[in-house]
Amino acid sequence: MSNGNYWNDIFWRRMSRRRLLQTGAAAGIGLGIAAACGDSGQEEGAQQGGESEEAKPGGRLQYVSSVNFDGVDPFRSIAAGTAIYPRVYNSLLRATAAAADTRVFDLAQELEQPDEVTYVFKIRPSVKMAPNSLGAPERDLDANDALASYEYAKSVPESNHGAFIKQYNVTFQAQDASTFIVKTDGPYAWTLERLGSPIACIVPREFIQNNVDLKQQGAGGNAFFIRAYRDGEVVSVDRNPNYWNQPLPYLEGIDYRVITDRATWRAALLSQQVHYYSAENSREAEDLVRQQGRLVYIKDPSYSYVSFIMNPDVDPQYRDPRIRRAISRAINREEFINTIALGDARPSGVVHWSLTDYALPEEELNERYQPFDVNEAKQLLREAGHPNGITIRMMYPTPQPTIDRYVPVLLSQFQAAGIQVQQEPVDFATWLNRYRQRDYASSLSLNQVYETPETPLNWHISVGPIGDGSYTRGLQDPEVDAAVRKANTTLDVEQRIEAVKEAQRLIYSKDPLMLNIYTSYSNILLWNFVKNYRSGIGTLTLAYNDIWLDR
Amino acid sequence: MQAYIIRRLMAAVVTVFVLSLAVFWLLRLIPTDPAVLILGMNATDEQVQGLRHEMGLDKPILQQYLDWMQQLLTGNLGRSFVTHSDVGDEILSRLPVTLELLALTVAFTVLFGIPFGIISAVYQNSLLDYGVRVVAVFGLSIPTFWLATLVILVPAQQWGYSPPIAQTVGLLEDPWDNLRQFVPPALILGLTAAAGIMRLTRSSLLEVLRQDYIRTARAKGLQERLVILRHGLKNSLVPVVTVLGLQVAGLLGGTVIIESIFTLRGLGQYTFEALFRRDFLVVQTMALYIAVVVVLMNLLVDILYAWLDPRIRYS
Repeated sequence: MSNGNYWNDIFWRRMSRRRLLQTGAAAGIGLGIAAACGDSGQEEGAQQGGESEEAKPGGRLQYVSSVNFDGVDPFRSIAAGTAIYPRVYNSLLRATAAAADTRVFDLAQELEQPDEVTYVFKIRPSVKMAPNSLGAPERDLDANDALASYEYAKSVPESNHGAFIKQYNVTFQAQDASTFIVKTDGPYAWTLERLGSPIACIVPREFIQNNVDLKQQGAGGNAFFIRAYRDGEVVSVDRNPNYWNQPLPYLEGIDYRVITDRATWRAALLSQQVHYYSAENSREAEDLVRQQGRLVYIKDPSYSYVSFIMNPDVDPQYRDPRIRRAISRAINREEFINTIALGDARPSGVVHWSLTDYALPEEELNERYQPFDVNEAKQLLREAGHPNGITIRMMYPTPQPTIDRYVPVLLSQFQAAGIQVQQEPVDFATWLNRYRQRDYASSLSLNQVYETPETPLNWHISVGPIGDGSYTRGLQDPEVDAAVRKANTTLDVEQRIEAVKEAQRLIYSKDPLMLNIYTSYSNILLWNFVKNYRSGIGTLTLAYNDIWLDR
Repeated sequence: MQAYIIRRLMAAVVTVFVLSLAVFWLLRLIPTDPAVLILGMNATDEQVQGLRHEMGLDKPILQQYLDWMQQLLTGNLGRSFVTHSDVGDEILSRLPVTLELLALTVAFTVLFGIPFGIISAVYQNSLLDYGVRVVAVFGLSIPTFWLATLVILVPAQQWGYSPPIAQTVGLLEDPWDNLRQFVPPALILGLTAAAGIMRLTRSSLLEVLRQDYIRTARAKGLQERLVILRHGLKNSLVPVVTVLGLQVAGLLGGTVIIESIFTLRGLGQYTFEALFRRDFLVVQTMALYIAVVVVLMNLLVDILYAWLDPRIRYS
């Protein structure tokens, strides 16, 4: 396995799709996933430079968050903190469906699945705590730390990770210091993605026992520890000298700077005060590269989208599938893509295209399930008894740079199909509150980043996206509920991909209440001296601590 | 004078109390649940209720208000709902930033506003007067956020230069970088304030220069410079000082945006972020703080005015 590259020795575990399928099929007879290690994985996603060069240790990466931090508590913080604490605390492993054939082991070094609901992790020895003044000795982390963290997440109502644990009745056991067992109450397809998500952090058990407030401080066994937290300004993390995967990390530290104003961020990039910039669109990114040739442009698939969602509980006309289909036919995604994303995006189906194999082919979506056809829309409205069109109420959050650009396009498209819109612009907080309580007739809606198809599918089931009836009650259709359940409980990857697609086709056959518009790209710019920045793998990029600065 | 000050102080206390009530109740009128906003879209009901309890939002509103007042009166400003940081500590650590910005702004306001006001008045209806007035109108009409964006972006685009961003540099820590960081926003804020002061100085001085005693001063052969500076300016500055005092309070509002654009870690940015995050405790504390500053500045101006013009005390 080793080819002299550091992560091939111990860090990077990559499986080809075929190997993963074999492993999935063999799970029932107890073969270990960790046994299926593959090649270097260098072709996975984009990687900026550095691979053939000798890494230089030192330097601080100047990163930017465009929103202020809500803390760096791995159990509670959800905003900018989710980019920081995964570099401080370990997970058992890191995994995402955005890079489905990649597993990066961390606190665990090996996984076995003796049956469909049991996951046995072998804990890596010598994952040592970073120096800290928070009361945790510089000792090796073990299975008891994992147990303490997951039990704590289960017990804290507002915990990020607790919902998954409670929803699937997940149980944990530290068999001994080096063996950690996770059990679900039934087969669940996304267990590894859940355990491997950036919010599934393992915190030293002393912090939990002593009730240490981790909002502005923290240390664990991962590559960095938090040195400074200045609200509204910067969170600085420093290199953990005890990190198990030496000589990583190469960086002396990372400064996460808060710059909320885009012009200021751009100025900071151009004056090299920060090393990273997220351009508004490809045109801005290309302009900047033309202007400053030492900037590198990385185009990264996004995992989010804007949707139009209907609520038949408030507006009963949406109970008529012909109305729903008419609205679907009235939406011209190409126009959205050309006018808002400057042509640099692709239409989204129920599952967005960036989840690759899980998404339906674009041709199938465009030709069969969500074609743009104004005449059909009008015809459907006539058939539904509305020869003069219909009037709908649409809520949306404003001011929101994204949504504000969608509204006029959608209004004109709806108008062309005979759908008049009574607008309900509300501020973001009000929108979120009403959206959550299903207090809307229809809404133009922002979505979060979804790196598995689970939540995109769950928007269409009776218990809604997070299982408690918030936001929507979906199609209220037992067939759809069953199809989505099947997709979420099929362990074999190939079969699961088919189940996800079948669920989508079924949802389309019932005329969904939620219509996703398009998914674009993140347009990232870095100075060319930043090496080993990975893209195209979603949040899995946080699993890599080998970024270095060539200066 | 003493009775006058006591009356004004009592009125200020009542004003602050009413303001505290208004700030508290108005925030609660916003149809939103901060717990939902803080937890985001994936939060379950249990998570939301848990956070609401932690934030004390499940208590009766009157109880919440009394708890807050009790905290304030005991000097404990509480902890932010979102970041868990001590609000008092945050205010103390950010206060020097805002004070420095305000001090520089006021300095620029006085430095540009008053001399150009005098020049404009002395050379009334000359090209110089017109030029100064045009600049003043420009300063009054141009939005500070727009000017700030230009000031930060154009040098970066053209020469790869921008003031230090995203890390507030202390004056004693690095005076040069500190000034590079604070002078541009202070100049921008000062431009608007100076424009107002310039126009007020001009009109006030013109009015004074038409008084009989000025004519007398000139008639007795005093130098024009002495007539203007000693007899004219001194009297014309009374309303200018008053307005300047009120402007300082008003500038607190201006710092909210300017600190965010220049990434200065001051009280304006703190307020802006708290508003954005629906961090009720911080928002209401900062709103009350600004209200108290405005009330105090008004009080100071009232007292100053009474001292400058004894007729006010008896009215």
